[in-house]
Amino acid sequence: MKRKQHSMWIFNPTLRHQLTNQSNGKSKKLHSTDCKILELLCQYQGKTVSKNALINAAWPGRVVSQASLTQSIAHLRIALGDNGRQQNIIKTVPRHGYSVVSDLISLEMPVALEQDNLSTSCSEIPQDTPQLEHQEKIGLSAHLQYLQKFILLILSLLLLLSITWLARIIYYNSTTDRLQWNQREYLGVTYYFTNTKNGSQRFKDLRRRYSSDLRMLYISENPEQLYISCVYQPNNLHERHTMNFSFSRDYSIEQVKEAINEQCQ
Amino acid sequence: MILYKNANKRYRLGVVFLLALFPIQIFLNASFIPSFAKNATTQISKTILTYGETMGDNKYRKIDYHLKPYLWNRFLLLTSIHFGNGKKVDTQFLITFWPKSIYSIKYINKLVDAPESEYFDLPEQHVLFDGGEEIFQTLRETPYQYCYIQLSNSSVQCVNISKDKEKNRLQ
Repeated sequence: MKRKQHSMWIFNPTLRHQLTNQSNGKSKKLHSTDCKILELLCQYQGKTVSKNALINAAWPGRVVSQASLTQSIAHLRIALGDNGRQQNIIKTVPRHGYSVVSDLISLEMPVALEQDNLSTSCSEIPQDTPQLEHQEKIGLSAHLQYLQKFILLILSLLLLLSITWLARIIYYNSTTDRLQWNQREYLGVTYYFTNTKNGSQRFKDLRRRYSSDLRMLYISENPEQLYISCVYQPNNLHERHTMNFSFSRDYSIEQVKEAINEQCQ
Repeated sequence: MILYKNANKRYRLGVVFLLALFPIQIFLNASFIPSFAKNATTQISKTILTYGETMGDNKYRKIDYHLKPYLWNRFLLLTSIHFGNGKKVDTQFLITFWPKSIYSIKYINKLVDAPESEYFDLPEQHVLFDGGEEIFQTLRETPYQYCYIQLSNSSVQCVNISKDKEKNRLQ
C-alpha cells in the first residue's frame, strides 16, 4: 500500500492555536491534555513513548484510565488528519505506547520556556475534567484572586496612612521651632523664662520674696499679654497645685506680683 | 505573564517591607505619648485668671479635661469649661502628641455662637475660633503637673493631673 504523503505540521504548545498546517497555514486549537501528550510525543519523535509516561504528562498526580489516553490520541489523530487505521503520523505500539513519525511535526518552543520546563505551555482546559468540577475550580481561583487583591488593597491603604503619618511626624519635628528656656532660683522659687532679653528682664522684674507656698513660676509674654503660671504647695498639704494668669499690659509689675502672691498659696 | 508575575512579586515585596515598618511606627507613636495620657482614669484640670484692661476686671475659668484614645498618638480631649459666673461649656478637641516635647490641638466643636466666648482670652480664642491646628511645646512633665507654651502666641500654662479621685500627691 502506497503511503499517503502528509503535509508538515508546526506544533507550538505556547500558542493559543498550537497546531499549524504548513501547507495551508490553518491553525488548530488543542485541548490541554492532548497538547501535553503531543508535546511529549514530539520530544521523542520516532521513538515509542509508554502509555504511563503519556498519562503522567497529561494528568499529573491523577488516576485516569487508559481510555482517556486512547481518546486523546484519537483527538490528536483527527486534528492531524490521521486516523487509527492508517496511523500515518501517530503510531500505536501494541501493549506499549505510541510514537510520532519523525519529521512530520516540527516542535517549536521559546528558549525561555524550555528552560522553565514548559511550565506555562499547554495551559488549556483539561479535556476530561468534568465541566462542573472545572467551573468550581475556576470560581474558587477567582475568589482567591479577588481576596488576595482585596487584602493587598487594604494593606496598601493602611501603609499609605502609615507613610502619611510618618511624614507628618517628620514634618512637625523638623519645622517646629522650640523655644529655649532659662531656669533661675531665687529665694526658694524656681523661675522659668524664655531665653531672650525680654525673658531675662521679666525674671528681674518679677523676682521678689513671695509666699512660702510658691515653688515655681513660668513666665512668658507677647505684645498684648503677660502670661504666668505658678506651681505652689500649701504648707499643710502634700499636694501641688497650679494657677494660670493672663495680664493685660495695663497692669503694672507690682500689681502682677501682688496677684501672684495672693493667688499662689 | 512572566513580566506580570515579576511585577506582582515586587509589589508584594514592597508591601511586606512596608508592613515591617508598622511595629516601628506603633512603637514610635507610643513613645511620644506622656505617661498620664496612657491611663484612662486620668483627670486633668487647670484654673485661669484673666486680668483685663481695667482694675477688678478679672475673669475666672476652671477647665476639666478628659483624654480618650483616638488613634495611635492622637487623643480626643473632652473639655468642660466652668466660668466664674456659673456657666459651663462642653467642647472637644483632637490632641496629637509629636516627638521632642511637641503636641498639637485641633478643635472639633466650634464655639462661634456660644455667648460665653467673651470670657476667653486671646490664646483660647485663637484655638476655639480661628480653627486650624495649634502647636504647643511641653516645658514640664511630671505625673502631677504638665506645663506648656502655645508657640503661636507664647502663652504659658500648667495643668494639674490626677488619677481618678485621687488627689495630687507630692512627687
